[in-house]
Amino acid sequence: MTVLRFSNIWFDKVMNRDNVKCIILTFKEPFGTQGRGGYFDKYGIIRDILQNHLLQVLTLLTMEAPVVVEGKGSGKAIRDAKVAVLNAMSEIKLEDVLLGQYEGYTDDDTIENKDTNTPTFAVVKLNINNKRWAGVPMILKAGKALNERKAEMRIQFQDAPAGDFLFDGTPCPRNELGTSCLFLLYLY
Amino acid sequence: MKTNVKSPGFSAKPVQSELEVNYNTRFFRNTKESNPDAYTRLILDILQGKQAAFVRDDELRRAWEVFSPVLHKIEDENVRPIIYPQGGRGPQEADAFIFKVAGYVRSEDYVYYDNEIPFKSSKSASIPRPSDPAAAKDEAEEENGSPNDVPEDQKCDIGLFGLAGKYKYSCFKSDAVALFLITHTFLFGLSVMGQNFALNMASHGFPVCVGNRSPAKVDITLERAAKEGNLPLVGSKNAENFIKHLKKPRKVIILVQAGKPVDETIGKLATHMEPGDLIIDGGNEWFHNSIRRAEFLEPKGIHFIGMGISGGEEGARNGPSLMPGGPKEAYDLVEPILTKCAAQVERTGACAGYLGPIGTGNYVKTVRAWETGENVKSCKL
Repeated sequence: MTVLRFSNIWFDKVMNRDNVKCIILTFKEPFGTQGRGGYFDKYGIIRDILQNHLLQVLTLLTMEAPVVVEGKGSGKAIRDAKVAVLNAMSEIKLEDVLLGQYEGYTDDDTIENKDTNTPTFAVVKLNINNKRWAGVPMILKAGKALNERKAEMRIQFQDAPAGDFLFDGTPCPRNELGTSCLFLLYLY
Repeated sequence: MKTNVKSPGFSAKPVQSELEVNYNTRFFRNTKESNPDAYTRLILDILQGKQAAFVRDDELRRAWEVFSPVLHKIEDENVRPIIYPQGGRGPQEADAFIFKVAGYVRSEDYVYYDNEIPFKSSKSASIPRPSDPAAAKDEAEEENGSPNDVPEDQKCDIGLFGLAGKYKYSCFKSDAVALFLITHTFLFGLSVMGQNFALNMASHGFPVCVGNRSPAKVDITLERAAKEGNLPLVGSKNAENFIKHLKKPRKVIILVQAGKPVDETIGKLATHMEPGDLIIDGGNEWFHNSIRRAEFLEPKGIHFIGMGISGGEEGARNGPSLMPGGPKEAYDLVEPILTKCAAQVERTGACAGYLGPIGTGNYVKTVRAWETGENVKSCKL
């Protein structure tokens, strides 16, 4: 991701609030807790996936250019850049969270509290309050027992200016950059 | 990248398509290679001391500061999740919610044109492994020799099967970790662990019978035994004869390449063994495999111990660290041999001890191997 971002002039030019409508990072699993519900129930999908895996990808995607990306000093430089963007994130508010739980989650014998409110699906909106990203919603979304296995990031750009008028009413769908993050699947 | 292009035909209207790079089609279409797994790269980062992909403490602290308040709120206020059916896209409300908070428009009529070639996993093809053509040839050789009855007073205390087994870390389920440890292994060279451990036991006064799929390695070991002080060591060139050389209850250590060869060797030896006998696997096995093998041998009444061995080639000869896990009564059968042949530490004694039920020895060895990796990293070996 750092290569894509910092070795392409076009990419860096569009990665900001002037061009990006929103960013969505998604992690989907086609299976449930599979007998480890007792463990999972204590933590939930936000601690399991969003706070670590997805947030890591988001920081790499939104950080400013580190002093160096490879070679001597890059470890410190990249992490300094990540901390800087993390520092610009505000605390998540409850109204910016949507929680879900799949049907039959509590059928797992290892879950003791049958009235548990632990989420197995969550959408969270984050804000990055800096010059580059102010006002651009960052969405982290993850869920279990869904229709497919998938880990991806998606950057939706803004509408083409006057698109409808220029093309006689034919809709101009927004540009959208999607990248499969296979490594996310491994990290899990 | 979803990009609007001119629709086919005569109209100049935009239609959504994609600009796409697929690593497999772009870079690996005509090769057997594939992109290394994420963990492969991560492990090599460790070896090279690259820290960028690892989270630093201040990052972690800050990440929790962003998430903790809302997590506590969800718990304190018992916020109820929306129940959604399994196998779908999640709660129906999610798309509307994302539109509301982010303005994301999901293009319902867009269909991704999937021209991807099947994903090539690098697990099988590209990880370099140490290869030893001679050993491969040995393994292919047929057994020969005929079983003879061995007089009781000439029988050995213990048998060791596998003198040329390739050293393999099957205890890790990731090839990347294995690759990393094989790289590490090369530094110390562990191809003659079986021979060395047999000679070690023999030099402590325990008569040993050695066996191997390839008879040539048996001869080499016998030559070494003669050269290194006329050690009490005999060789056998097939499984049945090998077992006949052992005192009852028979105790066999196998040191063949972890994984399938272990199953094959156990299968072969067990047919000639009796209830009360003991097989010890000294390979770097994934602990679940040891549990499975113990269950396989249980109906036959044959004990099974999974024993991690550390210390490399030199340790095997002069005193390794031994990590046995299995039934206690089985451990007691070999306890005198193991504690005598293990490394001896001044204050604490032998570097061997009973660790617990089957699988525990392999598990401890797995952790130890990982720790070695950490040391290699710190020392930048």
